[in-house]
Amino acid sequence: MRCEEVMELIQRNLDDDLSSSESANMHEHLQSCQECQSLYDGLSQLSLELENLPDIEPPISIVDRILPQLEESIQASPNGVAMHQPKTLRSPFLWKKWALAAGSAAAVVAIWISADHLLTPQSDQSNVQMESAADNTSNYASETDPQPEESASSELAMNRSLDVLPEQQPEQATEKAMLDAVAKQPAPKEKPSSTPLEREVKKNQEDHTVALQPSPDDLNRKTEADSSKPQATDQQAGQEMALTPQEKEELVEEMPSIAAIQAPDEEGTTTPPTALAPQESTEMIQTFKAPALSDTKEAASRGEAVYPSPNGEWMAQVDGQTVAIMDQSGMEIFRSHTWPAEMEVKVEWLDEHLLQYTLSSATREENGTSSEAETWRINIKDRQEQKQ
Amino acid sequence: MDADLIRAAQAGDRDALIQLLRDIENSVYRTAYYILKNEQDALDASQEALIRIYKKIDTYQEKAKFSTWVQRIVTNICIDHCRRRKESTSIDEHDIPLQDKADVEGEVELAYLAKDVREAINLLPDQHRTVIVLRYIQDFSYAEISEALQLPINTVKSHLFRARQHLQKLLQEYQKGGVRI
Repeated sequence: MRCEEVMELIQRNLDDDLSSSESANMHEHLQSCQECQSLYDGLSQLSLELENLPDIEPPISIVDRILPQLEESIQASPNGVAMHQPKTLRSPFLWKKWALAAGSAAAVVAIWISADHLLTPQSDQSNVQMESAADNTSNYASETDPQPEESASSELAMNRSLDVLPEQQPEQATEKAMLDAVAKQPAPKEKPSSTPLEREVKKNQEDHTVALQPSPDDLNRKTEADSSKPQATDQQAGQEMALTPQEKEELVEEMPSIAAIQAPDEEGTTTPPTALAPQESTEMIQTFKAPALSDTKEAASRGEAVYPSPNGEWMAQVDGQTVAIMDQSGMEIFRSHTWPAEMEVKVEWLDEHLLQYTLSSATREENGTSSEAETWRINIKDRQEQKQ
Repeated sequence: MDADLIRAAQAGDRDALIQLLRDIENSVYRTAYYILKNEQDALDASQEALIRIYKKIDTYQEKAKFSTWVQRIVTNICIDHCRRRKESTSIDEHDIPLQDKADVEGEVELAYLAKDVREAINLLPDQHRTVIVLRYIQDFSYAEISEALQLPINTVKSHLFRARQHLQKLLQEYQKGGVRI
């Protein structure tokens, strides 16, 4: 008997498919053929394992799960056999989940965007935009209120508050509605021409605004919570490690805008134009890499400082071991060479089109060697950099 | 399976039909679980199978075994499911260079060696896995597998034998220390 034939017998034997004579032949061969014997042993072992596979049971009763649907269909068809069944039962649940997820995502984005506006120096025009955004948000908040009655009343109160604005009739309900709106949405900055009621409401909002001024920790948390910026936390962790405390200090010093935003004055006219990029350029940063000033601060905290040029036309950003220059549309127009990992960098604008960065070895002071600092200048007009 | 219960269900006795579904629920799920490799897909497929059985109970004919009729329904759904999953995967993997794609399809068992028999089953081609499931999970004979899958008995044997050899190879490779050929 040839081994190939025995192979089939071995297999069929596993399925109890051999006649007694076939079985005898097989065993006879196995005694004389070591190779087939080990094959037999191996396959028998495998088959045993397959027979002992665990008896999986469904985690829930599937019949119970489909029962309501079967119930429905039996009423629909007189002979007790359903005629029309939706293809799967899961779809409505899925839809709800998706809707919920999409809704939450939208809300997060809305809050995120408005928070950025909050932290961005505002012109009067953008204040107006913010106010209309706040109105929208309050409507949205009402619509998404889980308790319909309360929602209706707060919407009503909201409308009333708009009606009574000139007559200075603040009501508790009005305030509550406004505060609800504020709680769900960072407040716009104060506008000089506001009515008394507006001022009162805005005073409340101001309180929220103060509360909403993010500490670096807050920003870090926000970054972590914000899934739309997945790269931030990793970079942050990594690059913060690479920074010396002194360097961090320097970075913060070079960000007057941060100090300004941390202590906004009553009028909301926070920032000297030289210290801070105009509205357009911060928006530009937003398109390039997440939001404007809040991001600047985050960037500073993770060593990714953003440096606006004196007239705000360009933005320089330390990105890892390079400096990148962006134009107003957020488009990267130049990127420096990559310097070695242990270098500290200091960046300053010499004029509108000339950026200077100085690289110094971080280990210089420790080992006492006097490795010289490198100074490079990036000429934006020429799109070139040159070692000095 | 209780023949009277099946007849009652076919005659429109709804309680009998529900009871019948309860009786087969576990075996339907088990097949789906082992073919589809995960709980969620198995639940979806089982649900679809039970609904289809509920709707089509009057088309069952006694000349076939009820269990093979049930398993035919669930395996068809599972194999469809696998096909759809592959289609969507192949769209996802559209960018993979040809060379890599060939590796993925042709030498998958060499890339992923199975550390136990369950893992090894998951690496089998769908058709082979289905035969193994019917043979070992449902304890079907060649004839029953043939009826459920509507394949000639010799084809069933061929699938089953090759599947076992394949499994053997996967497990041996792992025991050898996962050396790739």
